[in-house]
Amino acid sequence: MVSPAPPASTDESAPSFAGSRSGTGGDPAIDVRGVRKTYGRKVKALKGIDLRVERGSIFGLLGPNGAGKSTLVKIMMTVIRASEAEGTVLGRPVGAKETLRRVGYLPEHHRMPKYLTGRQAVDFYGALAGVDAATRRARIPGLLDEVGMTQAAGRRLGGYSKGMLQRIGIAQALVNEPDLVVLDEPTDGVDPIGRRDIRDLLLRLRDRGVTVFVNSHLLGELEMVCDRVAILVQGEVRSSGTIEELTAHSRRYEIEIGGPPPDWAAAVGATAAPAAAGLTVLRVPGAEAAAIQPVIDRLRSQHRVIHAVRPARENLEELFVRAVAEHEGDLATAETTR
Amino acid sequence: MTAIVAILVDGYRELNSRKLFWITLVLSAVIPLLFFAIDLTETGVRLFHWEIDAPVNATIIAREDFFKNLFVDWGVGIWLTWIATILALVTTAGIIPDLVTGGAVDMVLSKPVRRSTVFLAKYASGLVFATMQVAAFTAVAFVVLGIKIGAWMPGLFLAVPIVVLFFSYLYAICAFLGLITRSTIAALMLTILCWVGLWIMNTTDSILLMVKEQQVAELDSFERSLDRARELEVRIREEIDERGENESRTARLDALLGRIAEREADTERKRGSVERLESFNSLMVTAKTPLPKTAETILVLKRTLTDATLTPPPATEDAADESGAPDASDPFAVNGPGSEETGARLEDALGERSVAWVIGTSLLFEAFLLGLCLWVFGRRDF
Repeated sequence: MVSPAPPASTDESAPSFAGSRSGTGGDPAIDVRGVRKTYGRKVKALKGIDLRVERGSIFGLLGPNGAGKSTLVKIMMTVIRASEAEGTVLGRPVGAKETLRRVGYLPEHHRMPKYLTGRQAVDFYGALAGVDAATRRARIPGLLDEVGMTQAAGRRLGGYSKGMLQRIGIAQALVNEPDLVVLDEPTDGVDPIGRRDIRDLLLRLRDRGVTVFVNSHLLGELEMVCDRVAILVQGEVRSSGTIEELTAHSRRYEIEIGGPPPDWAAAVGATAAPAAAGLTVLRVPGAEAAAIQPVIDRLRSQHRVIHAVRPARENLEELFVRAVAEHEGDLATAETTR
Repeated sequence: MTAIVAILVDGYRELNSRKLFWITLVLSAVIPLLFFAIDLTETGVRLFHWEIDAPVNATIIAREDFFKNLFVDWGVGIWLTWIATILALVTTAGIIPDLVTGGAVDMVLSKPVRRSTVFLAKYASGLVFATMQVAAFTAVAFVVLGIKIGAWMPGLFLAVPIVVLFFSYLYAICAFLGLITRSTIAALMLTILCWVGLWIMNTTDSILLMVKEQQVAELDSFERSLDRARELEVRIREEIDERGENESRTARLDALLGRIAEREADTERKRGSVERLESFNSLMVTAKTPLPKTAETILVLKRTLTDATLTPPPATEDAADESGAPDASDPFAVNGPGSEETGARLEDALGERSVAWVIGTSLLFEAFLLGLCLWVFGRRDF
């Protein structure tokens, strides 16, 4: 899998994180090949995953339930042992415990001890991450502030809402000032304001040079922040790249006109679809504006009212649905052939 | 080290959040205060202001020994090894299942800490609770007894490591079951079941040992009676030699020889019985060797605290009667061992099982179980 350099940026003025980067240019943060996980003899959760995530980027891993996203993440986090795996995470072999000193992780459906306060939880996981007591004391107030939990930090987790737990979960993932942050469904149960806050935080992390690896079902969220994505279906990577690359073939112009669809639409390669209030949308494939000028000329010659002209392309959700559908189609074809 | 300290502190916070932790701890500190309410009198014991006549009184046992026995038999034997242990198991049984719960275990295993370190630190945090409980009980008992009888007995603190050791056998079973089943209730119930199994085994062992010791004592008594009968036979034969045979002497000799033959047959049967019981005892010891020895571990404490410090009770006539002294007029008279003698023989027999065997093999069991836990925890996908 070849990946173009991501649009990584670094903010030299950012506190603490910036100075700890071990370099954003050379080796990738994650470079794994042939990751397989088989349960028993038959259940193949991962069928040979190749994945490369550049340093200082935000990477989104998408996939339907049961695709193997969490399994892949857990293998990198040493929670699960791979049946086969090659490659490195932060320059060390997959599964090396020492790597985790520079990694922050928030699992999906995480459970932190309810008897701890928010502050104690961040402190506890910081200690497990090997951060000494003095550093934790100095760092935790800033982290709690960053995730908006300063006010509630003295309350026990048992009284927190799901969104508050996610915020504390993210704070504990950052307490060791990681080079790589892996977040599994970070916006799960978080309200729209919280989701925006988390998005902003991810962007700030990227700006500081931190690599962010996100698993999420909320494709709209990912689309807004991810530099690159991979779509995982039934243990295999169906496609990966920047969103721009993955949706390039679907680029088009949409022309919104009054009245019914013109009868010559198909002849110019356009598709027509009814829109609200008696309008029609003509979709003309192509990324270049020049391609639609003859269509506009013809519409004008017929005195059709043009309400809007806009460039469009497949969004992440459509891309995702198509990838899953194609996979299912492939399976059906394979089954028929057999 | 930072991580180990964090896990231990977290273990304390976890226990601290449970009401039962404080209830058990407070009870452990309050129970020894009852020593203030108990005293030894010339005729028995005094409980609060009630005088109770009892065979145990100030004439047969020193006050210090009485309270030491009270501490070991009731304080440790009943409270710490039964009631407080059950409360401690209830309080700590959830530590390992909570650790391996989905969502919680990911948070811990994704940190740069070895799995074995995580597990052992969690296991140790359970033992910390037992240590606090026994230490509170012993410290209060030490102060109360010191004030009450004016004798400060630092030896009581031996209860702390020994009772924690005893608890650790059960807690290792509980941790293993908690890891396998991931259920607090299942771990607790199965541990108590194992404990009951061990108790049945120990009780069976003690009963067999007691029966054997009774039989050995009877065999000794039979053999002594045979010796006396043979001496009598010699005397009768000498009398015949000196005074000549007559009907009476011959009849006495014949009767004696008949009874000797009967007693010899009885003795042989008894010897066979003792040998069979010894075989059973050997089998029982073999079966117990790989298992934790809960009762015997507590007995180590009792032996250590009371050995050579008890004032031997003065021999009374009743005691002499019970101790098996034969009727001088009848050489075949056999008095079975008294209950005290049997008890003493049983304690002696148990005492022959070395501390190294009792504690060493139990620790080997615990080490094996913990090794198994580490293997399972280290290899499992969560």
